[in-house]
Amino acid sequence: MLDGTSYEERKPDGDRKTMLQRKISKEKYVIAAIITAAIFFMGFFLGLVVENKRVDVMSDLYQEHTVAFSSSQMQYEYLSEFTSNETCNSVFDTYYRSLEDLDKTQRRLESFSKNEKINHKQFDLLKREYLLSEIKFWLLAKKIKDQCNSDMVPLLNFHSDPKICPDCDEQSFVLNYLKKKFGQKLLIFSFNLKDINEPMVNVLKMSYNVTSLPTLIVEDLKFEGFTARDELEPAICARLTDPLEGCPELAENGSI
Amino acid sequence: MATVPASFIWVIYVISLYFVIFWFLVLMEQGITKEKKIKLKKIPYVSILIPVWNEEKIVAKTVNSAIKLDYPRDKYEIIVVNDGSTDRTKEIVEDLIKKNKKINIKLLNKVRVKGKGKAAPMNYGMKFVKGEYVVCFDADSSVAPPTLKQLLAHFTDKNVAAVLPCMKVRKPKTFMQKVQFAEYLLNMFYKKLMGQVDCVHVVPGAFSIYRTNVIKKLGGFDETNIVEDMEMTYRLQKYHYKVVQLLDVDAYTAVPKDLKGYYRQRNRWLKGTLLTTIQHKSMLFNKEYGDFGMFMLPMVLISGVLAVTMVLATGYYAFKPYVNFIYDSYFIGFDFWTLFSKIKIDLSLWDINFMSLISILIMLGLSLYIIKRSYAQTNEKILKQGFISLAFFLFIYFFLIGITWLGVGWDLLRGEKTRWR
Repeated sequence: MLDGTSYEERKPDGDRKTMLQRKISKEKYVIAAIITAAIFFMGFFLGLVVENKRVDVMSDLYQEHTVAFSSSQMQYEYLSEFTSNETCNSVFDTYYRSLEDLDKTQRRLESFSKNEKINHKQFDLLKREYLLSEIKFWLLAKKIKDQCNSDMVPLLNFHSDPKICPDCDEQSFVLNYLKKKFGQKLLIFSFNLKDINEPMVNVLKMSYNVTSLPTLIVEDLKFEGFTARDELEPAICARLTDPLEGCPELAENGSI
Repeated sequence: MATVPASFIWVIYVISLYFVIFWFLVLMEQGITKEKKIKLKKIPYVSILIPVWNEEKIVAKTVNSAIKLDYPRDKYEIIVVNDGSTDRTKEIVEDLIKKNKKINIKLLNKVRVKGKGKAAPMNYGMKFVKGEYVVCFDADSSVAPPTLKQLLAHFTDKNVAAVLPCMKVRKPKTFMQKVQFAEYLLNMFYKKLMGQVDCVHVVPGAFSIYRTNVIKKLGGFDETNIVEDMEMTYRLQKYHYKVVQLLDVDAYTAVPKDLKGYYRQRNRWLKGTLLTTIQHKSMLFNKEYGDFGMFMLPMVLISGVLAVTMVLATGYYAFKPYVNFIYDSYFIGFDFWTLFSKIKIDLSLWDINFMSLISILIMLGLSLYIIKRSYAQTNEKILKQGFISLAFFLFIYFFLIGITWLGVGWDLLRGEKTRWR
């Protein structure tokens, strides 16, 4: 009987056979596991299908960018043949639009390849192709600038994955901001050096003596390691013939 | 490449999906067993036990609810156990006794032992119980007059040790109460399914009926436990008694009206769940206890782990971008104007993470179906408490559970004494 102060476990008398008969729903454990696995793998395979589709989309876009580049290049060659400053602006406009498209696709490619599961080779190849495009666009930018005296600054951004280069994400954030601020006056060419076995990149790295990441090249200037807005902005402003309103006042013959 | 928190979220997803699908299979196989309107053949003597401690505001309501029961007056007694109230509880009950001379109401005054919960007054009251059945009637609950007869009719088998009504939130007013309204219905639905495969792990104190001799045989409630009702249920399961959960007989209970009260209550419940499961760990993965040992108890424990991991992982995901953003913004001199005035929206169908999307949709579909069924089975309208509270329950509520589990973990790490209130 109860003593009312403390509980003491007692076994009730009774025969196990007359008590509640227990069941183990083994078949339900198994079926539930099968259904769960099926749902999970269905999602997984859908992911793979989507990934393949993404590779296709990226390849198609690459073709478009190649044609767009040829068009810009053709226009430039035409321009250097028959120098005329009126066409300069329209050539730069075409060029700039193609570059913007390329940037967009490249950014998407980066995010797709982060989630890839099976198409490692295809993504690497795509990244390589896009990297070469980026270099082609950069070379053309330099030529257009020389030919047309366009008021813009090309900027090279050597970067990599956050694992190898922890500061690269912050650097992209700053560059993204500067791009928004300067618009057409700042052309950013980004080279992701992760796992890329591309001789051309090595040539570039050597010629700019890139030893650490991130490294930024603003024309003749080199910034090693993470560089914030307050250093980059004056350097860009100084290299524009017609600086933006937001540009800091420059000292005459400023050293930067 | 998947990051660590991302793989955590997948593990949580797969395990929770497994649990949901298991109960879904139980539902598909058995349906919700129809509760036959059984007529009570014999009128047994019943004791209604009301433990009270400083309940001057509600005690009269509770006792009156017991007085109004549709049951022969000479066949039941009301035992109010006053656990050393320092307010007017005692006077109010004495007054009620004077007014209702035809009803057998007893008032037992007991000296409160500090730090002890409801188990002590319950055990004290049990010594005076004369009924074949005893009703645990917490002061914060109420029932309709026919409830007692309806519940008693389900003691059809001598293995049935307890019969539980469908516990609903009484008149939800605040947002938190409306959210809990939805939660209680869903829980009751799950408990009904659990009952069908003998897996009920808690008999709450809102008008649940026990067979008196079973409680006495088992040695009464554990006075060291902070969730004595759950501990009693574990022992009922341990000795293979049957617990019957009903959905068509209601009991109403008051629930915490704000977050603070909610946290305090749930902290005790979850801590109690953990400690009680550890206390009875011999049943864990023990084949002798069938699904209760092999599925239910592991699920109870794993759910706690899942809730904590879920909160940590989603917290990480939800806040990391903002923290990064603020940190990064320092390097652009916090020039948000340029950043936000030139936002270019660039969307593509292929940016969607289809794997996550489909997983979310499947889980959402299952949850909605079960919520719909639980409202239908308990005769409630699905949007009775408004859309927002239901949406909150569906999408955000698990966060509160997870945070409470975190609090429980914290308390236990610090070695905080677990008290009743």
